[in-house]
Amino acid sequence: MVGLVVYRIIRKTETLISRLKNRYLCSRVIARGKIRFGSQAQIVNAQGDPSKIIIGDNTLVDGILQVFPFGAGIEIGRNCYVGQGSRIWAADKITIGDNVLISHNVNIVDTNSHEIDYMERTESAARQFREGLPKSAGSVKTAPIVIKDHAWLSFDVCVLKGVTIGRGAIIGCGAVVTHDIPDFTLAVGNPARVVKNLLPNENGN
Amino acid sequence: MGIKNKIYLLAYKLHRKWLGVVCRGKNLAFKRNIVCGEGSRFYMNSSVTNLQERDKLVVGSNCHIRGELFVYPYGDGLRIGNNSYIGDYSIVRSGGGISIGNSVLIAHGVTIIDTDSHETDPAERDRSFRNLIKNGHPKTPGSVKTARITIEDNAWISYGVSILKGVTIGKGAIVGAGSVVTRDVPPYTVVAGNPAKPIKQIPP
Repeated sequence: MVGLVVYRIIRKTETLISRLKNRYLCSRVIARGKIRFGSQAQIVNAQGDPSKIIIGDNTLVDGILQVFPFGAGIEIGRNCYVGQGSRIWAADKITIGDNVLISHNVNIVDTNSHEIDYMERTESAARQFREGLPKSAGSVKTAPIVIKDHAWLSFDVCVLKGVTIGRGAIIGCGAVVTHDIPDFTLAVGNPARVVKNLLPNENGN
Repeated sequence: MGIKNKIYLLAYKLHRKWLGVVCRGKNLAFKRNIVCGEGSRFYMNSSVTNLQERDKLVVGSNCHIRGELFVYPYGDGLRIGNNSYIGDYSIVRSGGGISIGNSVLIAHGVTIIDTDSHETDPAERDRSFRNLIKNGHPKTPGSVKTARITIEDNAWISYGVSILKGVTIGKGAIVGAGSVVTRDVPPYTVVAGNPAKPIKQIPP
């Protein structure tokens, strides 16, 4: 009985905290309309400037949006969904269109994050532990990612730098997208390959 | 921004401060169960479970752990060198023996498990699983296969990678995002894919 009461009090406090968090997160971005954040949502805006993260109307974000201290940030359109544990890390520019569904544990990272040369990597990682995120990209490669309207990314998908995912494309679960995916196609696997055309053909099938 | 919003923000920031205090307590609690060097830090989502003696889980100095470290009641335990990083939701479970070198970068969502975890025979698996639920982890691996995993200095493991038992990842090697590493990775090599295959060499 006592356990039940304690549990209910904890639940009420959690709801209150998530509401406070929602307001806090809304103040860190530019919202074009009514947006919502889930319980797992996080925003790391290292540039501090809200205009680096733009989110469209009626979008629900339950993942982690991170903007590095350099680059043009993240832009998400209307009616989108970003699932639990999904990470969108922008060191260059990530553009997500309208009505895009992004499932849980999806990684969309437009940078290599570290140097290829191992001594350079070791030094910059040690510096990062001391001083936080680096102020410039240095020799780390970055390239913008574009995800067009009506695309659907299943869970555990990785989208690497410089990739464009076409309109209405579907990416199957666990796929690692290393190259551009054309409009209205289904791609799966590691590395992701197009396995099906989703546009109706001349016979109407 | 209205006064109401400001109060909300203040309340949330106080909550964040409270979480910081909890996290500091967590650090102290973890460090009692393991051998830990100077300047290592465990973050909010991290967890440490050591089912053996204290010296079977060794973390060097200046490590940053955001993931889960787990040592089964059998095996040689887990050793992590200096200046290494383990990202959020990464899982390192040792039932045979895992050694991670110095300055190793492990991103988020990486799974490193050096044991099969269960038996291959269905009846035996069922029996031992019921026993596990009832009595906790068994004291011996039984017929579960285990094999050492070694990750050498300066390696870099990208996000979403799985590393299976018996694998050695060489010095300065890079494992690409979402790969499944089933075989040894030579030093100064980039591997990617499922199963992970060499893509190119990096001159040391």
